[in-house]
Amino acid sequence: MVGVMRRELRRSIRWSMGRYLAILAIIALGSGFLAGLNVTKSAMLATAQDYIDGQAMFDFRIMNTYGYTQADVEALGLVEGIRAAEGVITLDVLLQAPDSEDEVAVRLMSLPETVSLPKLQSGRMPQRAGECLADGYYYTDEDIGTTLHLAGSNDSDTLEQLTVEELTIVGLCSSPMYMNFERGSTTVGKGSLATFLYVPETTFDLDGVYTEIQLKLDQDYTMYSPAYEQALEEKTDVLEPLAEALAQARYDTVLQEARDALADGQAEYDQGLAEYRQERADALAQLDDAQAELDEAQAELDSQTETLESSEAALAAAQAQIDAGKEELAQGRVQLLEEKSATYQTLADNQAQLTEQRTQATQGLQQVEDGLQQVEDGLTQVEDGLAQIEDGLAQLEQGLSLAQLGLEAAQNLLAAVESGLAENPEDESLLAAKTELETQIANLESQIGDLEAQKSQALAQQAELETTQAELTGQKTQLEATQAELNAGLTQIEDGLAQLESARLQAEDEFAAAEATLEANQLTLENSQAELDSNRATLESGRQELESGRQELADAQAQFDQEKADALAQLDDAQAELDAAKAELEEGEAELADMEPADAYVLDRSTNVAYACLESDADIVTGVSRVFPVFFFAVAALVCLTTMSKMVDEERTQIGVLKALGYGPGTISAKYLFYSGSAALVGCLVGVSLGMVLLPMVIWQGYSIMYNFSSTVHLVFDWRLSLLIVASFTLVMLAVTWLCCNKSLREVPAELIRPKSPKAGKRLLLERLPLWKHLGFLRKVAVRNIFRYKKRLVMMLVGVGGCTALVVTGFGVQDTITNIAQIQYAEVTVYDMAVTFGEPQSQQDQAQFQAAIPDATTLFLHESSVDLTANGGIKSVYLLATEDSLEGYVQLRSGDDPVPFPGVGETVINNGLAKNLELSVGDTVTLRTPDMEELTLTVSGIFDNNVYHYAVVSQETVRQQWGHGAEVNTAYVNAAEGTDVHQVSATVSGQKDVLNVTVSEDMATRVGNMLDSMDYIVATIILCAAALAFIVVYNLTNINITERIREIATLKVLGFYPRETAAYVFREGFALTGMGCVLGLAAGKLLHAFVISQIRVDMVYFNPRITWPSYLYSVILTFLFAALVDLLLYFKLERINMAEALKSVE
Amino acid sequence: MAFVEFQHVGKIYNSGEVRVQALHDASFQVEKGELCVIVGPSGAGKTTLLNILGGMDTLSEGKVLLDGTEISAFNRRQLTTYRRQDVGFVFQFYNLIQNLTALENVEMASQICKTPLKPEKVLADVGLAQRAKNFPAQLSGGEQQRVAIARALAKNPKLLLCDEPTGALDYNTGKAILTLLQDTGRQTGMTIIIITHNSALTAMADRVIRVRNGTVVSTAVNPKPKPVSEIEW
Repeated sequence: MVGVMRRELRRSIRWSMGRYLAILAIIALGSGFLAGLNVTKSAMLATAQDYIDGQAMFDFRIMNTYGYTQADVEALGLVEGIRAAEGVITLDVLLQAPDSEDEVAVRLMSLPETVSLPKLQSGRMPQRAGECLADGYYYTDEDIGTTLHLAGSNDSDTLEQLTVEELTIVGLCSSPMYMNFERGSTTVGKGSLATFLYVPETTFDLDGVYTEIQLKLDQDYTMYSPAYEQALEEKTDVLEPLAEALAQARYDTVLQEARDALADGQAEYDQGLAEYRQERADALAQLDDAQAELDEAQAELDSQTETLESSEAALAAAQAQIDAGKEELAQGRVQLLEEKSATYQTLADNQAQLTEQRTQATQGLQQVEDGLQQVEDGLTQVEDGLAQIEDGLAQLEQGLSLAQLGLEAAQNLLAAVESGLAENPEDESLLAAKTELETQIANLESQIGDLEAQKSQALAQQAELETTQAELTGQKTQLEATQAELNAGLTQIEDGLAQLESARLQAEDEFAAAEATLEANQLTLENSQAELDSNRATLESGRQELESGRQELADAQAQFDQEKADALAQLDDAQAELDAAKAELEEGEAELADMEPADAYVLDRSTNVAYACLESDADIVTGVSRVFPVFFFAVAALVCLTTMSKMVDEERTQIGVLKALGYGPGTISAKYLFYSGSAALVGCLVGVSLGMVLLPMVIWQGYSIMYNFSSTVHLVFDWRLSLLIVASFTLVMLAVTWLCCNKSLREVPAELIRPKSPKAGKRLLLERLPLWKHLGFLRKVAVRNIFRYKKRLVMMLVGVGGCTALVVTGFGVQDTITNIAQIQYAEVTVYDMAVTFGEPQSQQDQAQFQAAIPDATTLFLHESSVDLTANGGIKSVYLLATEDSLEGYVQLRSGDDPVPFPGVGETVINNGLAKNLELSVGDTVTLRTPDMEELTLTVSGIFDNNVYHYAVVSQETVRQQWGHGAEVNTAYVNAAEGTDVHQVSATVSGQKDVLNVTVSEDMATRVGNMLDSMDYIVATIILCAAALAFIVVYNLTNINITERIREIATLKVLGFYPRETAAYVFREGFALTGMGCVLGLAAGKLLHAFVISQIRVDMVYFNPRITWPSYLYSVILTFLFAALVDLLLYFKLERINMAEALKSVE
Repeated sequence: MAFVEFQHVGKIYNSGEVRVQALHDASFQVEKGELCVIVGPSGAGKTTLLNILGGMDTLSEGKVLLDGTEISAFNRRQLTTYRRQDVGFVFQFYNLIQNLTALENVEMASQICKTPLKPEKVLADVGLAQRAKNFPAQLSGGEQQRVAIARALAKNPKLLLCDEPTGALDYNTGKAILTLLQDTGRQTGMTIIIITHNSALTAMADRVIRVRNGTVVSTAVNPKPKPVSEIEW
């Protein structure tokens, strides 16, 4: 490449960084997904391999019913090709759960030193009995130092096998025996183990008897490899006879020991019986003697009681006498008191009467005296009045005489004057004197009149007073008579009082004498009472003595009775003990007779659940990895195609110019090849390296719910795969680019330099519809645009549809898988638990089993693993043989229709099996048991089933072909409504011949947990779908906008508001997204079905199903992604300059 | 007061560190109903002037008034509304929407403004009644430009802005388009501003504004504009 061209290339990458990165990103996504998913299974297995090798996980476990001795362990260690052999003791016990009443079943394992070593996670290893190393999955660091207590409900056999009663956790570990979360089943407690504990061997008291021997081969083989299977097979052939021989020897030893023990027991019993009989006779004799003694004592006590009773009667009579005397005395006292009070009362009454009379007399006297006083005062006043009046009369008399004298004198004078006048009538002075004398005479005359009146008045008064004086004198005489009378009465009263006083004194003396007599009587009575009391006290003490004597006797009797009962009970116990011993001996004999030869087992790792499941669990990822990356690959190629063809179109003129300048097609196309090629290369490198690291890590994280033995995944880098991916991606991108360039490069320069004429608008069929006229021009443009650029339409539909399809698939995978356990156990195998018996169950055994769980319903049947051969294929299936129906235990359905129970010579198989072996109704299949017995059957029906393969036949078919029915070795149990399934399971576990109980609920949980890890995978798929949708939709919308930049600028100039412009552009996108969605939903359904068919988990059949919400979520998510893209591009629209509209067409 | 008024308009583009003075102190006036030709060589600032007048760009200094309204004071939304209601554009390259028929292209403009003319009538007025249902790609350049003019006129704008309307057309077709514009102006009394580098067109204008080096160098009123058919270039 020419230097200038190189510079131009660098600039075109820099100036179209978004586009370059889009290609790079989609390629990184596709290649990373492809690489990551493809190495995940290897990474998971490598992680497990590391762990298994590091912890020296066993290759074989050898077990038998009677255990092994150290010598057996050493013998097996000498077998060729065995690196290590180690005896292990295991014991299932119940532990008291802290803070609750619950008990949990726990497996104790002796701490191994060479094989299947636990991996210490924290704390330290246990060093002595009483310490333990706990399960790091069940316990946490905080539990280190906690002491665990054995529950009281452990049976005594279990407790006897242990030297301690509590265990202190000193460390946490993981174990190669339990690489996943399952802890397995047990016969103690509720039937399932909660966890395990490693303890030092000294914790067990088993006399060096090991439960099992674990063997490790010389070589570390790759898990699941054919070489390993080969080695196992070879070694099994060697070990099986050896194990059987050891078991037989062990059986003989145990049998001999049991016989010896039985003989010892019989001798002991006989001796015990003789001793018992002697002891019994002695005890009975002793008891009789004691009873005689007691009877004698009773008689004596009775006679004493009689004497006491007669004394008591005499005492009672004396007491009665005293009581009578006392009564009399009391009466006398009362009488006396009554008399006394009556007498005093009379006296007091008389005295009061007299005193009253005296008071009255005294008052009368006082009144009389007061009257006398008044009368005398009146007399005195009257006398004074009389004296005054006399004085007055004397004065009046005197006055009168004076006045008459004056009158006479005056009359004399007058006569003188008149004589004068008669001489001299006219003398004046005589006239005046005459007048004056006349006046004087008048006055004296009136004065004499007045005095005369006064004198008569005084005379009247004097008469009145004299009358009053006579009256008063009369009154005085009367009063003086009354006074004399009163004084006589008073004297009489005083005499009466004196008499009363003397009578009182006399009465007092009499009463005092009577009281003295009474006192004397009382004293006498008290003396006799005291005497009586002392007699009674004496009698009482006598009685008490007698009473205590009686008590003593009763005690003695009670003691005797107790002793007698004890003695008899002891004798009974001894009898019972002897009987029990006898029964035990008989049982021992029976057991000895029944003792079975030991069954020897040689088990390899495939019996370890985690080891067996890991491969198929990891296969889920492989299934997914087959489909998705191809899809991403296709989308990446499509994105590259559109982007590059757009780029070539854009640079059309430039290509023309370069061509015109004389550059060869190689040089010109080199730019584009390099552009896309470098994006592919870098994208692949980034994608592959990130994918191979991130995906296994994410998925391992998901699996860690189940497989928790390692927190980090062993990353695997697959060089060949990486090279393949890088090469294929890069080549495809280059090819696509070359295709794009080639078309343009073939045109002549003149053609190229001219602008490509814009693609003409076209009428659509749609426009002939009447509806069209009603559309706004914006909608018209959108519709026409959608169909104008076919390539973009296809790309958009593929991109959006792909995204929807991926999301639908992701959700669908989850729908299908998460429901599988639910559906299996709720709709197909609906029984609550499956019970496996160690022995064929006779009718009687069946009845006995049913009797133990009366509330539950049970179906007895034959269930075994057989090989089914048909159409040249072979599958391991479960043969279910029962009389005539599985209804209520296993539902035979196809869709909604029931599948009839097979008739004679027929079988019903499950859909997964039919699909695997391409079987249909009417085909012939052959079943072969491990004992090489065969059944040839016609398929009469195919039923829906998710987990395991089944062939159902009737017992009649078996009887016809084998001559005998298939042995009944399994029971399906349905617990009664409302009972605890685990409770029933525990009951069932303890029944005769029961080997194993599988509770469906626990199975459902296990399968459910396994499938939970799918959530991570689904989330990853959805995330990738989002990324895919984003890149595709962004890229296309971006191209769309770039192409129509003039159109958009013109709209802006014409005055379209931003929202109208955006609607103009995005309406198209949304319509396409909608169409893509519809396509995607359909494609998703197909893709989902394909993915599910690719997920091959052994024995599990996935029935593809997608729920409606999943479709809905997919559509919503797709539109959400599209809306997000539009939001981003809205800002780009905003930035488009209107001046673009004015530019010339390039 | 004049219908269109530019008062000391200046425009400076700042792109990165480069500072370009596209216009400075440009002032002119156009009266209502005039056909005005703005002429000048390439790079003289004609397009900047048109962008500012058309509401597609803002100015750095000065004032622009249309019919008494100061459009240079509008915000973005007001400018959009201004373009939508008051201005009709005719582009050099027609800028028709390829996916819409001739009639639909006209309708597109008429549907978004308040006082549109009837699209069919406008299209008939520009002489394309027969081609109403054709897509742009099925029309010649001259016909497309007629559709573009119809689209601008259908909005019944206050102002018709034409940016080199004949730039992509041949001589005769160009003349026909100019005749159409001149006749439209005469008949409707619409104010039309044509931007061109072709001085020959000045003869048809009522008013000629010459632009050079980012400023208006002269404004001349042509008392006797010639009919287009009499102009030769």
